[in-house]
Amino acid sequence: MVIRVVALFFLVFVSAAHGYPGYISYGYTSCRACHFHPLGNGPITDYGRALSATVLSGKITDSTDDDLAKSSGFLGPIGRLPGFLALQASYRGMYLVSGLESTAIKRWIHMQAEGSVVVKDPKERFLALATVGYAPVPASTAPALRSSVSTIISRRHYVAYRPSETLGFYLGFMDQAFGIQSPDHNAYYRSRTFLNMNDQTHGLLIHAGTKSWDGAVHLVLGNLSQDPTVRQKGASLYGEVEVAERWRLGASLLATTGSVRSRQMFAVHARVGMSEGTSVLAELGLARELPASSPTLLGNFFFLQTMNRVTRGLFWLATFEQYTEDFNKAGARYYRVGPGLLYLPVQRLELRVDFQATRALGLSVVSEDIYSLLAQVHVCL
Amino acid sequence: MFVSRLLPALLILATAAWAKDSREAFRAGVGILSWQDSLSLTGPTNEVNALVSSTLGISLGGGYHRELNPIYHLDIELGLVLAQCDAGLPGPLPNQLLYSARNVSAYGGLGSLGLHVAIADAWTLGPSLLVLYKSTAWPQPGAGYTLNAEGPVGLGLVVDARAVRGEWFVDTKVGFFRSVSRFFWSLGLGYSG
Repeated sequence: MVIRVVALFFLVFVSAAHGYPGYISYGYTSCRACHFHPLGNGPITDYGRALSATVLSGKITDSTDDDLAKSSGFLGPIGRLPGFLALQASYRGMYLVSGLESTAIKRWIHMQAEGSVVVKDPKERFLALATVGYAPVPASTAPALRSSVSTIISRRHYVAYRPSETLGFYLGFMDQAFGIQSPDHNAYYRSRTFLNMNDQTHGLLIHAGTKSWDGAVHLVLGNLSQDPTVRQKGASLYGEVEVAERWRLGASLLATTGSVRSRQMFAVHARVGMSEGTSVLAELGLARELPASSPTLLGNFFFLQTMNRVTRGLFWLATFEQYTEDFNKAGARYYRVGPGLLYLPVQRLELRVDFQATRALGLSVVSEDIYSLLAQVHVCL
Repeated sequence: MFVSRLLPALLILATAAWAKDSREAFRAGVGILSWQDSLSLTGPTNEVNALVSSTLGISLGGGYHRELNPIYHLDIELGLVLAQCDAGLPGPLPNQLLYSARNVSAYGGLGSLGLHVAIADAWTLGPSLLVLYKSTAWPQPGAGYTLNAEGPVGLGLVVDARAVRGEWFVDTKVGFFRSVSRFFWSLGLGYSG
């Protein structure tokens, strides 16, 4: 009885899980199929919600896929929002246990708590989107300044105009166009490249694409709500081509500059659907940092993740990451590897557990691996 | 203990597999792999200091794949390993190193025996038993110190996940080598003929 009540709660009140780029294995090669933003991340379209309910997530009731699709909207089975409006609210929390090899440190982290509003015309040629969310005070903030840091921020707000299916203009505050967008925002290829969940930028994104390719030019001014000295202005280019069925290759280029530093990055990536439910994502990049007051750093980053469906709603993950801050000096090369399980018991609910082993090579003193356990809950209305 | 129990079970299954009329394939692959070893440094007064070494290498080899039935698959792999190792131990004084060696060359061989379950058409998952031989020429420490390494052969147990697309496959192994406190991983790309 309790299980049925809990199941009913999630079925009624909780919504689509965050999009994983590994869903290419189902034949959905373009991020635009499920996201309002053409390169992924952010609020999910009605189609994306229905897909989550009927293909990706498990079933814990006897409902048919048709019924699940009909109740996949923000209001669930209660009703449908008017066509010009889309709403989404989501929370992602993580129980992190780090230092398993010695004295474990345990803590709960509110990773994401946000709400989104999308106003659009029925054909989605015009839309305005805003996402406001909670962001914890960075750990690096001095204690005296912590109370002055706002924890409510805008994650994205932009207007979009798509004169045709193949062309779109997006003006405002959004994720920088570069590489694979994924929920693994603490991965080196996102966190060490300053493309993290709170690193959005103001600018103009021009997207063009068909079913077999995507391309984007993103002209950026930095985050205008930040101090001008830390804003990064410049541009990025993104391209991805389908070279075979469920197999896309892409490349990204970024050049930004500011008064504190300049940055240039280049990456190639691949998204390969091995079969339905099984995919491999990989991204390999070079990053060149030119700090204003210290020597240039030239490093690299690598990310590979296999996602394998065990049964509907349950996936086995294996993640391999590598990061080198600078090739020129004898510094560390970091490797982080581990298995994981992703479980989508019903649409609107995502449970994920990852084990990570972090190993540093290239240092004078060699330490034991650092073991961490990450347990996430993601609820998305 | 767990490894020593699993080995006979896998060998029995491997023997049984030959009696079946089942599909088979030969495979070739290349990959990167990494693990840690335990070392010890004995000092002038016979004090023993524990330290670890980290190894990163590439493997090149081949394997034999046999489908015992539509669900259970047997995989035997053999490979040549070329690697580089780091080891270093700080001393009691600031900026003092009792021992430090970086990018020390190592070579060896890796064998694995795995019983995997076909979860879907394109991927298998299951345990594999590893046997790894490694030879490392560690530089000698300073006068009065002796470096002691573990034996050249070690056993490991990993979870092996293999995603297949046509003749190509991506193979990931994560698990333990020598002890449950030593993590082993490998990432490979292979071709099945």
